[in-house]
Amino acid sequence: MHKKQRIFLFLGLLFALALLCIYIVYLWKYKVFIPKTPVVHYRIAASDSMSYANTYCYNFENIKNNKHISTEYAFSGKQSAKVSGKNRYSIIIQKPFKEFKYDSMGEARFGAWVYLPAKDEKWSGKFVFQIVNANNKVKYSHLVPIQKESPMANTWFYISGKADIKDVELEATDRVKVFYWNNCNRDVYLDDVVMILGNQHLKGNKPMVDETLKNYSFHAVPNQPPYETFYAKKELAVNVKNTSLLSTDGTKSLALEGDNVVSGYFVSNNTKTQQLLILKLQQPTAIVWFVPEKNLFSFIKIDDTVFSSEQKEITPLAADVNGDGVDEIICVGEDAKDLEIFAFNPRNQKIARISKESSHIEKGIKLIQTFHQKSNKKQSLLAIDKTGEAFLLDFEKGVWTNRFLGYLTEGAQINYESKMITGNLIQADATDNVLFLYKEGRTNRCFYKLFEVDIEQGKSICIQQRNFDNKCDTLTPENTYFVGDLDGNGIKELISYSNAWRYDMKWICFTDKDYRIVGNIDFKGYDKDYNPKYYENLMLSAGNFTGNKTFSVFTLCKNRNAKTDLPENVGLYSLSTSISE
Amino acid sequence: MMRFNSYKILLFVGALLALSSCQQGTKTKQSLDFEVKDFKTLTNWNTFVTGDKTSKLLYLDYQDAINGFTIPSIRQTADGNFDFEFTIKNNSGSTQQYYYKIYYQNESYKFPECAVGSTKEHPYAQENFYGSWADTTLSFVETAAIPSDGKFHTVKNKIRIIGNPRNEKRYYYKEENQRWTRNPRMGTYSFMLVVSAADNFKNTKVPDYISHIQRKHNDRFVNPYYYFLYGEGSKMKGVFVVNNVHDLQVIAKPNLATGIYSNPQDFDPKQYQKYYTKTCAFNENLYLNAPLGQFINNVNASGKLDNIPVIADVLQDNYSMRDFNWNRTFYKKEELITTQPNTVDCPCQQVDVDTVSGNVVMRNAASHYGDWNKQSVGVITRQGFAYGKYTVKVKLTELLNKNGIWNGITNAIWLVTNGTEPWNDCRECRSKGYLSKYGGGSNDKRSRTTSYSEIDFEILKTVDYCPLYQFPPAYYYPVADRRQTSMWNVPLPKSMLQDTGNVMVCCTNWDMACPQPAQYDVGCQPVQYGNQSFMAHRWDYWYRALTERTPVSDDEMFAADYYYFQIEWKPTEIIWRIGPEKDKLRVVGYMNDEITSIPNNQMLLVISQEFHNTDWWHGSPFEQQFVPFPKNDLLGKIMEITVE
Repeated sequence: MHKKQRIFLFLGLLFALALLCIYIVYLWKYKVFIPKTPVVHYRIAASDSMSYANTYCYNFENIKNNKHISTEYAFSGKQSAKVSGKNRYSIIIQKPFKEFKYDSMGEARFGAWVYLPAKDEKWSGKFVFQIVNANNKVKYSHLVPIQKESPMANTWFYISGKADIKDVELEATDRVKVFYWNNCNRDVYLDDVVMILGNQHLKGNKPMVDETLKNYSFHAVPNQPPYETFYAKKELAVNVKNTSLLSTDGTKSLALEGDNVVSGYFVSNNTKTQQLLILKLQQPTAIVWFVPEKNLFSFIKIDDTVFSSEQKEITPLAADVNGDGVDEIICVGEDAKDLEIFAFNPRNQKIARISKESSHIEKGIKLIQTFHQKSNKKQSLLAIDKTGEAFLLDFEKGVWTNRFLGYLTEGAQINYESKMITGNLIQADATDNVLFLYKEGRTNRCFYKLFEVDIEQGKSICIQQRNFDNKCDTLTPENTYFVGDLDGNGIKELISYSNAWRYDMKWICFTDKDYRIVGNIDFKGYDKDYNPKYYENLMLSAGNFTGNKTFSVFTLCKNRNAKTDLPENVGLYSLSTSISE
Repeated sequence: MMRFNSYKILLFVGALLALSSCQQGTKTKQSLDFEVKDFKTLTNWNTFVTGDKTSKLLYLDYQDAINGFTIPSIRQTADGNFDFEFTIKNNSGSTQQYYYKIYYQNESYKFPECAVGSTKEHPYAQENFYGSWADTTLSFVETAAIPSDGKFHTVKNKIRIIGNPRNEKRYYYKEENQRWTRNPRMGTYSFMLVVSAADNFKNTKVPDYISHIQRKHNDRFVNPYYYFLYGEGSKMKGVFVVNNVHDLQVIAKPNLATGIYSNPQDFDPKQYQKYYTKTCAFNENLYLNAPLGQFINNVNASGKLDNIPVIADVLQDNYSMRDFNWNRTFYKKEELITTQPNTVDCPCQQVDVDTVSGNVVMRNAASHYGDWNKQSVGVITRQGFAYGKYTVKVKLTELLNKNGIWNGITNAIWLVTNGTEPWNDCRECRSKGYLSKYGGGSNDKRSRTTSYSEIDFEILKTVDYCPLYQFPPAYYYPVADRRQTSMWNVPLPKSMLQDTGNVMVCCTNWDMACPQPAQYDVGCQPVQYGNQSFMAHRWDYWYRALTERTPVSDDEMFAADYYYFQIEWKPTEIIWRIGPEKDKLRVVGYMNDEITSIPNNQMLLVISQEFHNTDWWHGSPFEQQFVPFPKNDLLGKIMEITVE
């Protein structure tokens, strides 16, 4: 190579280098140059979810054994992110874009609290917001330059920026990154980094429309929410202390503990109010009833283990099967064939078995309910066996007789969860209807069938049936149901109670063609805000506990762990007898 | 030594400038050829004495005032004029006729006649409310022949203060002078008498634009006060000027019991007549005399809320934080009521006059199942003013219950533009211009003028929050875990607990993002008022409003029988005050023309109880959609409105 050529080559290289330098300076100056951060494999969980969409706060408290995390200083909690030395980046907060809600993107805002330990040195750095694609290629970058000759030391202050991303073509595989890039020798600490994607409403931000008249009207659609709420008002009970009932002479107390309740008329008294048989581990522990004229609960303790049956799938029933004016307690035997009858003996204040007889349902009882026939003083039982055959059971002369009433095969199938409810749901003072609820396990589809029972003909006639293609939360067999005449018209209504995702109690009535959700039932009159629905464990029963014409809800409210601001308690809440009230 | 000399020179020059610049106060300029004395204004109006001060006080007469106020009205003096007089002595040696003219100017809300440190006219002095004879074609008035007899001769005449005193065409509509569009300002008035020798007119020494105030000079008005007291007129020979400052105090204190006018444009009288009452209706009497109208909110149609389907009396039902959290957490989407904070749907049902007390009563209507109401209600004054000290005595609904839970209402006392037509345009924004419409985004085209203006007290439950950008404070979001109370029953952040009983008094000036003020800025900036410091916040460069927030006890403002709120809107500053009594007010907000453009157009006063979208108020702990619908009416009373 000639000397001239070498000189030219050298000059050319020099020129190229100079161009490169100018280009780098240009990029730096116009904020296009950004520190390249690696693909981040770790993930920092947001310290909490925000009440605002696409808003995340990172306080670095849940990160362990990370060199970027320091316990020397913290704006909140005990840890912060430390950036040590020049040309270093902080721990990178990275969030897949698909985790944000896509609507109303347009801008992003990001901020952090920053701490500079005392040191007489200028501070410079960049607070960076980036959007990278799946290959970590930067699609968008916004840098907030931070430069101070003599920054305040030993104090936390806030840095923030806003990025205009409306022109960025965002894809679900993109990732959003926020980090700090340190351009000075001093250490910098970051905490409580906030990242928000999307626009937020501002007053005056949108054009106003002059709407001088109300243009909104609500059209209630039957059986679609929202429903009107009816409030059951708390009864004054003077002998309740938390979950204990005290006798008025102070000699006795009953600590209410139980996992189930059966309501019925177990003790003959003058009040004509239903009583509550409290069960614990399927054994009776007490009979409790409310005396409205005295505003107190009466109770009888039952100490003996009397229910010998190991049958736990079917809750004992209360039914006056012998027509003596008080209810007996019916338990299904271990083999699902025998029926045991227990009764309260007022003389020794004990519950004793008075009968154990076969139901003559050879295939075993799967579902059983009390059944009331028109103008019949004593009550029958309606049972469905494991093949779907329905039987009417009567207790006559010490033995059970049964009559075949047809088939309800859905109740017998193994992939159906089912529940049976009885009551005169259509007509006043009529023989009970049978409401049969079932749910297909595979699809979660719910169905109901409502039957009229023709005892003379020995058959049951389906008068209504419906399926719920979508989710059903009211007529589902998973709920607990109570039957009572809430509005005093002689026709029973249904109370559906769920305590799964939330407390949910609904008042449902039936017509000869359809069902109608009348409304929600909530509570009022409780002390402070001790609404029974707020308790983690709520045992609840509904019935005529304060009189024949009043429908009431008995509540036993407990929490998993004692909470001083939500003390455990017992309550009785009554609904007024008329809807219009 | 040299530096000391320079300093002295500077001091000397400064003193000269100060002496030569405008001086405020009573001015009297004497002429040699004649003498004028005993200039008495308002001789047919009683003097009002307060302490050691004497002034003449006049309350605006609202009767038939819908087309504009006159001061005095026909009912206040015998002929609807103030009488004035002066005496003049002719020293010229021959009988003379003199020419005189009386000017008046509002002194409470004016720009100084001279620019700061200058003898030139203040660029905004022409905006001052000044006038003269109602007939602007009338120049100086000739006196009778005054003999040169060494005696003072009395000259009498009449004057009254009216709207649009310069008869500007801007305030005309179809050849009719709409004097109500430039009503007289409230506060004190001065009267300036100018008496001139005949020569000044024969030789046209007094310019046409001074003798006829409706005329312009170089395409702008010249304030005659400036002209005669500081400008060329002050050097003019043969002119006698006397300026009685603070001679008259004018106060607007409408009788609220007169009634509320229902605008037929809001509610068709044919359809809604059945709702009218004696004191709230659409009729001629109320049209002419009612000081208030029913206010119909502008509703942002896009501001829909998915509201929880709960009807509760938050104030009375012992509604707790647990209730709030439960209802916020455990409702399904399909159960929510999609509605928007709306307006009333018929006239005179939610506002009326309590004829016993004379108070105006407004109420946000209760909701019933299926009739879900979050209705904003309010009243608006019907006569606008530019500037003024607006004081209201009100008993508005409480906002928080004893548990510190908010009922969703924003109590608002605010001024809003009297009209969005060009006659009500604000002063031009010379720097980039205004974002002229109330609603709009950052990309709206800017314009040199806007007629939209608003100055607010908005009192609601939100946080004292002044960020650079929109960073809502972080709250834990409840998790719908039925079996763990602590998961869904999320407490307020600790930082908010101390403010449980407080609501935020938010003071806002909608300057429509005119960046002309020297310290116009974005984010949070301190504003000093005396020894108080307020943090003024603007969301963005294009954001049209500047807000300051002060936490105040809800009980203090709304649990008492009444409370006072005051907006003092001056040409260069706005001061927000509150207090239990009118003489016990404290400042809760302050802005000046260094940081925001102070509107100079005419505005109306609105008092309202509104349901706002809390998305506007980032960080509000109780989002509007999780606040129940009101079970009972929420009452507000307006006892007194005063503009001074």
